[in-house]
Amino acid sequence: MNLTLHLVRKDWLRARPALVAWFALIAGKAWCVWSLTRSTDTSSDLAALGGFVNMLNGLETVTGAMLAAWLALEDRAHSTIAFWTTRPIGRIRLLRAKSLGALLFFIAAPLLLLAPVWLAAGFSASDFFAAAVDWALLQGFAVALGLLAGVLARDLGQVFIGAPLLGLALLGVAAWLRREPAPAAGWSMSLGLAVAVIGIAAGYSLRRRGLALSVIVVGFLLVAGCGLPILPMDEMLRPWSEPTRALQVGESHGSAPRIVSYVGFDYDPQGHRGLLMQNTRPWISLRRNQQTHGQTNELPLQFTINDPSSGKPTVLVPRRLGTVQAASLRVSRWHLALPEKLKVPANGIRLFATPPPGFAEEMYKAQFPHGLHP
Amino acid sequence: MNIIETQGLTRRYGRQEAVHALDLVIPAGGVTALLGANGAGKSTTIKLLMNLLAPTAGQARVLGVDSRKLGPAQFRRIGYVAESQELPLWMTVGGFLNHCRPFYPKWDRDLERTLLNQLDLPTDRRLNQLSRGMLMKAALLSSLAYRPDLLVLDEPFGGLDPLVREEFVRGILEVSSLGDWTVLIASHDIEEVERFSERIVLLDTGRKRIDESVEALQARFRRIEVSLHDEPSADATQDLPPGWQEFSRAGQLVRFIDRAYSPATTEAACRARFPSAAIAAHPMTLREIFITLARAGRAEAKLAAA
Repeated sequence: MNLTLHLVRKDWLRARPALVAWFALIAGKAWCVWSLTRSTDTSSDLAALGGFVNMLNGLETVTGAMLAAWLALEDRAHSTIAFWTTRPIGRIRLLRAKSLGALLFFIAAPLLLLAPVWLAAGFSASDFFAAAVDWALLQGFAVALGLLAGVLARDLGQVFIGAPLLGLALLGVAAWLRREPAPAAGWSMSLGLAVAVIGIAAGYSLRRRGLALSVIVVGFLLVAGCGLPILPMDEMLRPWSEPTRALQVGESHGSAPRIVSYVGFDYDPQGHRGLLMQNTRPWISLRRNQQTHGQTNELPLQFTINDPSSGKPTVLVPRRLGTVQAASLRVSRWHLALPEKLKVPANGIRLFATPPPGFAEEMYKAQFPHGLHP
Repeated sequence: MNIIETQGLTRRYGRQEAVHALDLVIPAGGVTALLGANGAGKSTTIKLLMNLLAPTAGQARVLGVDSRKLGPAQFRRIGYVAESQELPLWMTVGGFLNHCRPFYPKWDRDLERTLLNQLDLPTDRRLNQLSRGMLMKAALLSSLAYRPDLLVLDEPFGGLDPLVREEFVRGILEVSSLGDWTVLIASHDIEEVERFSERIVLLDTGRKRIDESVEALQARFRRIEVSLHDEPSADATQDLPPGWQEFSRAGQLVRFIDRAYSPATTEAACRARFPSAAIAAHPMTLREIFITLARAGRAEAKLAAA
């Protein structure tokens, strides 16, 4: 057997009980959230569920990071007493084994577990991909942080102290690069992940712990410095939404009142801006909106339906029941009181949401005061 | 070919010098013991040789390779067992051997089975359920089954009770006959080391004091007892030869240790001072020699400091 895989297998055997428990937590949470959001209609229930899910999300992410740190500490990179140091195991092989193990245990295996839940929730291929990228990015960031802390720390105690500090430092560098008070999570995490991966490689490659720490600190500063010229390009790349286009967000079947799932804008580089979801379903993957930094569900959208009998648009007054965020999944539920006179045909009616007039222009001006093409 | 060579090997921790300009040559074959009190620099020397620490100055070559460049290719030929070494305690003995085996193309399954029998190790027991001695034996097995060219043992007897220590020493003695390996053992357990070492390197405060075969060392050290029949002259105990140490007189008995003993020379030197005395030369154990040298070293250090 390939020696790298042999080391991965050793880590699997070591952490198997803990990893299985972690997988159970992930699968259990996904199933639990899915089933609960389908059956919960009241705002108080949904708010309680949101808190519960947030707690599980935190537990899932933190546990994953700690498990990764633990696996790194099992074969400490900078130790004069670690077993591997006097065995025919090179540093690069150890790095390869730990990286491969992290990918398999903390990214690939959980995604395989989540796949059936997402498929059952009716995800399209693009939803699935977006959700997988979102999940992998968040988890990858946490795991890379855990690994980095495990590589640099001497024991789990140092990991508990160091990992949050490292996380803050990485996000701080990323936020500074973006130079915004609230950087888009995807961007920050991608940058943080990149820095963490470089740090892990340095940690395993360099024999001296002090030198590895120094390289990582210098690496932070270099990445931050190199990021400056990227800023103007970054602004060029940012999308903005169609200002007035009505967004078809769902279908309502049966009689009023209805619970409707809602999502907001998305950016499509091909120019098809705005339209994100066409069907009502209890679970919707939300790709974080670049303009609003994932706050799309807070937009004061106006919901309308076209009265099938008259064909005229009718404004609905929405009442948001709550939002559940589960890693890449964000579900907002709205209570829409349909007009009493409205006759809903058997094949349902279409529901539209329109951003308030001038919304997109305001967002655009707030973010790019000098315009995209000064 | 020399298995280990060092030139001016030095390691400092801040201002503290753990190993000072160590020159060492260990040829292939035989058992060499690195002896010294706690803090003498034995483990640091071993760590420098195994590329676990970087030298502050000087260099070491192990198996013909600069110690700083030791890698998987060399570690396939080196067995290393240390008291402080971390082992995967969650594994069973069998699982531990299964884990080690793929890393060594020369792993000898027959030798593994022989060692398992000789060392009496239960393959189904977890390492964390083994006694300290059994654990060291498991580590020894995992370092011998691929027939290494060099076996390095760093304080292998630490924390072992006498019974387990005896068991472990017997294990080393038994397995040493199974292969043609060079053994370097760092220890302060002189009695144990004396049983199987052929050569002694004595370290004291990071400096090499002795580097010779056990046989030669024991041949040149003698505890001399001189029974006086009459009162010696006043200058008989003045200007003693430099090899005489711990000179003392109690009544009619004069005692000292001769570091450069030779029957004729020592007797002649004694007769010159104590013409009508009875002279007896007693062999010394390695432990007694070690203590003598340590005392001499401290005395010299005090003198130098003064």
